[in-house]
Amino acid sequence: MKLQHLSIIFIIIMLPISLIISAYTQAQIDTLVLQNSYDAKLMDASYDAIKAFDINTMNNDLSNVADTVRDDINAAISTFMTSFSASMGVPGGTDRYIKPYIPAMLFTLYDGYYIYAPTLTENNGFAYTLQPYNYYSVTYKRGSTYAVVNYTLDNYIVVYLKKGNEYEVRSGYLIAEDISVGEENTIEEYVPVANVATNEVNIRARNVTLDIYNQETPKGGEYLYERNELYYINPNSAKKYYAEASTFTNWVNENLKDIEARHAMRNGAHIFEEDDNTKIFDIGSNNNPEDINSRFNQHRMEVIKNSIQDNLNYSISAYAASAGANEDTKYNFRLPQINPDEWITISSNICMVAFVQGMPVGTRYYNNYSIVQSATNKFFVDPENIYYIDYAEDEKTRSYHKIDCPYLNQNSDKITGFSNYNFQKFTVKISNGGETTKQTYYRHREGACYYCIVGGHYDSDSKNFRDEYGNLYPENLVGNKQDAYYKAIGREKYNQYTTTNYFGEKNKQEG
Amino acid sequence: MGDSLITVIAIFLAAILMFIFPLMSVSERNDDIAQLSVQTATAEFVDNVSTTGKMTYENYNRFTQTLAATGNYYDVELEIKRLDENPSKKSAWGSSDRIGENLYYSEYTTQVIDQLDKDGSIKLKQGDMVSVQVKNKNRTIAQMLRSFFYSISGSDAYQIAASHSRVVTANAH
Repeated sequence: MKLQHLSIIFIIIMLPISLIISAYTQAQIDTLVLQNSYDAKLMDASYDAIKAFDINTMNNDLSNVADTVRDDINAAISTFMTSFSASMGVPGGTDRYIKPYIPAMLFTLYDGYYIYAPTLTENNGFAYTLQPYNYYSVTYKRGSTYAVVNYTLDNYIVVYLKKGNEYEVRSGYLIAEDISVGEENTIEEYVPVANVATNEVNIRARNVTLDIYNQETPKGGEYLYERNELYYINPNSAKKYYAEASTFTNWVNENLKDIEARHAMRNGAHIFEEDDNTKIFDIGSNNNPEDINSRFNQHRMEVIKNSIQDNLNYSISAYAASAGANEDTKYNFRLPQINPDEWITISSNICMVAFVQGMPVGTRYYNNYSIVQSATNKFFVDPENIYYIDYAEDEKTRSYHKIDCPYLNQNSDKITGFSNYNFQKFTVKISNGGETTKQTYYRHREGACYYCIVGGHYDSDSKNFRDEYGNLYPENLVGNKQDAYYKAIGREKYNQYTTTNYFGEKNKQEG
Repeated sequence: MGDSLITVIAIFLAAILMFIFPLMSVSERNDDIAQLSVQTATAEFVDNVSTTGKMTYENYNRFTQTLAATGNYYDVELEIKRLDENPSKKSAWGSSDRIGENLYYSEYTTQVIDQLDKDGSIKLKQGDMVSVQVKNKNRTIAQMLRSFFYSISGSDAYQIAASHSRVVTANAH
């Protein structure tokens, strides 16, 4: 055969191979690019949703109360859908095309969680609904002792105990060691004062610890809030918090000490191994409920994970089993494997998890989920999210800091900490004769410290205050900061509203 | 005479078809695959920063190693946009009747790398933004072969490029 023939045969073989490989690789690249862009859109939409949730709940005075938060969650979901649809290029802002690909959304709140999922209706259709609230609860059965424990994202629990024929319900915070703190004297905040005559709102500073004694009307208007004990912060809140928490911890140690992980049950079935004899409620320095690695916390996170997983699984598979779901999307919906680090995030923060499955991307189907945590909310007190003001500084130049920021003077005895949502902008609406005016105000006029809060990256002045897992060791704080830290956490937690606060009354009487 | 001319032309043609064409084709594929892995590595790196709120030296190293494994040199541009809510509180720029007005200031590649070198990691907060852009610096074989036949030149002529950016969704510990 001639050289020319050989080369022609070679080309005939090589050319198609090369073309096919080229098309295949290009398809893979396109798929990947598309997938990345979906990831980004999903994450951005989730971020928008959690922002909406933060802003709405912050400006909703009743959002801590039972079911009013449902409205805020529905608003967040609608933000998510709109944002996701818009970024996907669906015209007209409708979420009709996006919804079939979202088998579930999860909102973890302080003491329970909501699942938003397509739910079977009477006539075999699907309606997207926010399902009833689920508590992070579990039953323990040991001999004649029954206990139902509601866990939360932190060290607060509610116990419904039945021992023999006696019932008792108690709630409170668990702490490992007694901490003694004194009275607080500098808790200032700005509050709106309305002038009904001119329909204007002025913002005035007041000391919220003294306010109950100070009943006179402010100049130029009226306070917008009722001036009763509900808006008054007891200067001894922190002290009371530690005293009552310690009483409660003793009660738990007394009554639940012998309960082991293997006694935990849900829906009549054991949820841990038969031989798991971890003593969860034996609280002490070797089982500190505020340490993320303690037995209590590991168990708490397991319980939360277990409960969420069961319910999500049920929701998603019910959707997958229906004809409606498969017609729209031709996809077999399944709860994806969520890795352990992400479970830690979910079970220790207010979070939103959105699952997106079955969207066609190039050669395969898209299957991903996004987890975003709310960093500014009033539902729970995260020690990392408490910001501190040194009231000894000049009013015009002072700013708020993280507790271990070197620019927060450790020798000052006027450091006061507040949960971070207090530093956000609040809206106030005033209706007067059918006319509504809206104004915004800050409860604290200080700006954020550029070194620690805005910059985010700073050298801590307290060595070993923080470890790589995010645990905090307040005993390593320098100077007066330790005291300020304990006081701020104590006060914030003590004044935290939950629907089960009432069950903590006994801690007060005994403490 | 005529016969040998045709033989010479045929040899040329055969050389191009049998040697240069496959080489070009293979090198193009090679670049595509490099592109694929660069794209994945970039997205992975940025997503990791976004979900953990932390950029670590270790992750950055792993990222650059993945890039180097494709056999090319890359120009990596990093940008961190820090969210600053103070101006809306303090100055006339931000309007006082709007909620959540955001202003950003940026840190660029050299500043980011300096900080990574110094502290081993950079902590970010929710609302910050990270973006990474990667372009190849050297000329790949495909680029060289191509410019041998038809030239595309200029400083912007890059073959492998990827960029990704995300908003940070978690506060770093």
